[in-house]
Amino acid sequence: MESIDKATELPLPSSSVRSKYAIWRWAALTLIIAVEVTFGFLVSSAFRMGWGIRVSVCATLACAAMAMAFLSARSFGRGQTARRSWLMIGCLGVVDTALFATYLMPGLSAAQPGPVDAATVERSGIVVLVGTALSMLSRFMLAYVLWKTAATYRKTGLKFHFHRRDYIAVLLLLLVATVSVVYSNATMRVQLPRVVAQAPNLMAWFDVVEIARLVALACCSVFGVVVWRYATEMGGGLVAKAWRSVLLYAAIYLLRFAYTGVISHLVTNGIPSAELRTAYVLGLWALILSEYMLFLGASYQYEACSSTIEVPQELDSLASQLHSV
Amino acid sequence: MAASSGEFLVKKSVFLLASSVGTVTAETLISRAIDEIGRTRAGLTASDIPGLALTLKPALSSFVGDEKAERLTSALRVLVGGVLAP
Repeated sequence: MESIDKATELPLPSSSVRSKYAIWRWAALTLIIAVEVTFGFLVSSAFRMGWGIRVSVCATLACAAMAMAFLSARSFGRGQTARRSWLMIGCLGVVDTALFATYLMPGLSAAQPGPVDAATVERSGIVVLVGTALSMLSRFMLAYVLWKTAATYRKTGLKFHFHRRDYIAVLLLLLVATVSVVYSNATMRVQLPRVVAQAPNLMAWFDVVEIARLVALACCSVFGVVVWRYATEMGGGLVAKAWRSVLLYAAIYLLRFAYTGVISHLVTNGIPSAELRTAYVLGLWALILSEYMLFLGASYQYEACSSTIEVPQELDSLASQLHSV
Repeated sequence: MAASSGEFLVKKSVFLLASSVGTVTAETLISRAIDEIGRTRAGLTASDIPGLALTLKPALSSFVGDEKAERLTSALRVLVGGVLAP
């Protein structure tokens, strides 16, 4: 019989039996698709209602992710890096959803008929600005989490090889981050037309926040690729899945920002907007997808911290296999 | 060539931790723990497993938390080391 020389050649525990956690993940995905299909295609809902439904989907995912991330954090001892990391990760989705929800504030939507009081527009604009600033700060938090995680894994002695494709990934992410910031100006002006007209002083603050976001996104891109490399070299396992999901969440969120920015730039340049509504909906789907990835990440980490130990059925066969070589 | 009993114990341990932290991480952590208890992979015996589990626990807890690390190291002692009481 063939011998097994390295642990990486070991047959991994059978995944034929789906865990209860996997059932919840599939249930969440099915629910999201059902809601999107029902309200996105079958029911032609008003803009605010459609937006509101998507905010609710994101909020559900963000709250579930936060609950699981906080429970995971509790599994780690006080002072451990992972405890702080998962507490911070738990807040990311909620901040993103809160920012998304601020666009429902009265007086902001261009679709709202009739004139709106300038004070109302300014008040709503300030709420969106606060949400945007919180979102920017959450990216700094994510960069901190990724940096500390990479440092923790380095201390444990995990091997780390940064390949040429990793450098390319960092450069691509930096490029996307720059595109998102360059065009964020257009995004704000398309999504907040009344603020532009009635409270133009706020727009300068939006631009400042977006420049700060670029710094945060650059840090996230570098540390994100480092943690991705560590997760890839772990050789599978729930912890690696958790980190990959969190990083995919961050990458999809960033791509969505850049995508929405480019679409908004096209709108401001007078390109007919008949097809652009579909393009905007794609951007919303990307947001929901990113929240789902965060939910997945938190659920994998929660499973890693709390699941019962499955004694691999193959343990006995492995024993006989190794004794017979 | 028959695998040494020490190597067999290492592989069994890796197998137990793999679904949580991955095979490479498990092997790295176990190798470091073996070094720390002053043993070699080939010379590892079942009686070394309780000490190995104790050394391994802090490193494991940075991946899966204290409670799960405790459960994993208990499983290691029982299933790999053959110790019935933790």
